[in-house]
Amino acid sequence: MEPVNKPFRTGPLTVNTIMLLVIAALVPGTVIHIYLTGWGGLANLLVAAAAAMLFEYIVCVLRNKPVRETMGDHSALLTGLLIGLCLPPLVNLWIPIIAAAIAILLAKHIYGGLGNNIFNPAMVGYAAVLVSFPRDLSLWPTLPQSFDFGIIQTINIIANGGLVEYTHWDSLTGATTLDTARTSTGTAGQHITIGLERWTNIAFLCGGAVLLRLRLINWHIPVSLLATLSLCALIEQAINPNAAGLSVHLLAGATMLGAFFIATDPVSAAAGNTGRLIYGAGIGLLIWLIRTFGGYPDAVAFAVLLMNCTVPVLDYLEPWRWRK
Amino acid sequence: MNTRATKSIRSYQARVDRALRPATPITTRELPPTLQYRIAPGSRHNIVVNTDEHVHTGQTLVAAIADGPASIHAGSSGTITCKQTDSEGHTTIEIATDGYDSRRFKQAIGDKFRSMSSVQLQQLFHHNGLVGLGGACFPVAGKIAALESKPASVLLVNAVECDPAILCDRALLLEQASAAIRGIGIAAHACNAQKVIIAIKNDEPAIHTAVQNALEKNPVENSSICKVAADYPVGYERYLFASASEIPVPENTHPTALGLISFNVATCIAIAQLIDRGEPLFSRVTTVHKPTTGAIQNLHIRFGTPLNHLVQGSDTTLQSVAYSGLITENLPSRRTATISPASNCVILNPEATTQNDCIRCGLCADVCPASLQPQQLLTHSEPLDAKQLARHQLDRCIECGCCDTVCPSGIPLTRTFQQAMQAIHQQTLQIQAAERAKQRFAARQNRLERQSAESQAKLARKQAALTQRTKQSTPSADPRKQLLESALRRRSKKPKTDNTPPPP
Ligand code: SF4
Ligand code: SF4
Repeated sequence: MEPVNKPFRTGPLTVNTIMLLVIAALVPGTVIHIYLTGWGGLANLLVAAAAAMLFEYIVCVLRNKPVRETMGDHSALLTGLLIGLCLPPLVNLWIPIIAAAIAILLAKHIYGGLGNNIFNPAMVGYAAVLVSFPRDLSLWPTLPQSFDFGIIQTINIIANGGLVEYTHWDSLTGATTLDTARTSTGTAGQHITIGLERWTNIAFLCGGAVLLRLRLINWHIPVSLLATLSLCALIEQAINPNAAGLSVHLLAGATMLGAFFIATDPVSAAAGNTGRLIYGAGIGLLIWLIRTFGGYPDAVAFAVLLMNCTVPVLDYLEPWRWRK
Repeated sequence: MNTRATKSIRSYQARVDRALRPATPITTRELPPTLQYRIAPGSRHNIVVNTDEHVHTGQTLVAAIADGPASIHAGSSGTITCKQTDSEGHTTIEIATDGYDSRRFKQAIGDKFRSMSSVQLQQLFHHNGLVGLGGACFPVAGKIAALESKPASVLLVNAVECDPAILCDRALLLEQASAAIRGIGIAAHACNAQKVIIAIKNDEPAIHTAVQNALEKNPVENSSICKVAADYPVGYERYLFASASEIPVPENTHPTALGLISFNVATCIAIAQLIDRGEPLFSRVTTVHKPTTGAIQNLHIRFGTPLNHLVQGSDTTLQSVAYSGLITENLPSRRTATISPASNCVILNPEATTQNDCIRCGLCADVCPASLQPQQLLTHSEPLDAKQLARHQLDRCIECGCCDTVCPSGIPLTRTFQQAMQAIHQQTLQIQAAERAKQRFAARQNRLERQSAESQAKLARKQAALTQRTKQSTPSADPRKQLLESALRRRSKKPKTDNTPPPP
């Protein structure tokens, strides 16, 4: 007769339910994303998610972990989906696979698996392919691309190297809102309109609100992130009226996805409330800095990864003592 | 306590409550073949029985020690075997029960208790094994003595069983409310309480009625019933004082220092049984859960009953046991293989769930009634980092188990903290011991130095006296000295050989 060393209670939530709820909250944004990006976007999601789960399975077997329980937490699925949501449609088939491999193998399991990773796995995978294949990843077809290409054609394109290989279709691609914002800064009189991606962002915002309502994420990170980003954008606009305005920063690119689904990944975010506020503010500031002065059109991945580095310090300083 | 915590735990509690709410009557089990009492090592025990001695139910096995543990009494008549120390230095007293359960109690006191003083009653309680039955097992007499014979301003009767799985106090109140009220009256007399508050949960009308009826029949002076919100961990003494008597007890202050004292209902019933029947404390009501069969029982069991005995009869064997309710958990030191006064609830063969790594979701921090950061405490508990743990105020953890309950990764946080606290306590003890040893060494060194200095001074004084005396007396006065001096002179005149060292 042994005293139990394992927990015997089942709390109201398990990791598995949390992940499933987060995935469910992603659904509306994802649907709009697919509507905008067509078969190409759907292919990204499917390939990335399948690859992530496959790699997770392989690692489970290699690490002698119970496959059903480890896979059952659905975190690999979520990582794959986040990668898929970041990639432009019609990229080379291998890009999502490589991103998923880096995310699951390097960013997650090398550190010891879910709970021990320092960096957000999805963002590590995305950032790795972003710096490795800059041309592929900067080619966004004009949205909505919807389902202009049929399934067969899409498969053909992605299996043969993606849109980059089809230079004669250059006319199809267009500058994303953030691209326009970046290149247009300083050109007087040019008005930047936000593309249809605003609907994706709004959908992610709604999904995030649901997560907040269910108390699956804390308000600190998204609120401080969005507040800092807005503040920076407003100051910038006050100085230079032609700069990308508040709405561009908030509703273009991956802002909302980042604020509610990526920055709030609890494993790689700060744990205390003060730490969370600083962490969110740091990401907001970095997004604005990289978008405004950096060489990449979108900045969420790098901002999140950079702030991930600060988490050990933020946690170490917890509990914060403002006054001695 | 923050509201989110309350909500989260409350919804969980409601779920569990619905499943467990059906009233569970108190049943008695037949006596086990042996009862075992494990006596902790140390000189603070005074075992008064010998091997092969025959004892009656209720006879003293281990005598009480003033300001120390209360006495321990035989749970059944039978033959004693004392097993000497095991690996941890415990002594086990075993009673082979004879099946007669022949009782020989001291004479009941009855209403004469009113003429007894508080000190006399404390003596009586202490020598009849009365300890708190709420889970902490603190001797009742010790608790009253901590009031330092000042009258208690409030006697709080804790009838708030906030853990959803622990049902024994509830059953006791429903079935033995009058005994409880009787005990409350005696306890109030023993601590000269100016005010008696009986705290019950606000969602249990049946208990309220039972207590009220009993109070009407047998009124206790200055008593009132207070209904408190049934949010876990309201039964925690400090919180209960705050919510029921509206007297906040600051941390680091023991309630008794403020003239506040609290007893569990089961303890009050034990007091009543002692006064009215002369029965010492050797049994309790324990809630026993058997998740494998889904059975929940409130069993009236003798202390020392091996837990194995509780699964006998069913086709399972006892493989594992959780010493806890669904949220609370007993201290590691109270996880014994037998029923002890602390066993308010045991879960036999619980279904273990898997444990994953912490995903730092922060749910535990949201429910912590002490506003701690359990996930940070966890990080610093393994490996143990006492400095960081102190920074994160581990000492404020009340071991309530709320954090475990919500943890999606199924991490036994509370247990980890209990172990960390124990380890830190050990470390402090070691440091203190080292410090004491150092001081002892320094004192010894000092003493030796002082002694040698003294003896040297003494010597110097003697020598000085001697020289004085020599100076006073003439050299020729002492013939022996003259002889010696002449011999020395002769010797120095001798020619030196080569190998003799030169004079210094
Ligand atoms: S609830 Fe569990 S998983 Fe979540 S932060 Fe606390 S310890 Fe970690
Ligand atoms: S056991 Fe300690 S850390 Fe956990 S919730 Fe209770 S007080 Fe907080």
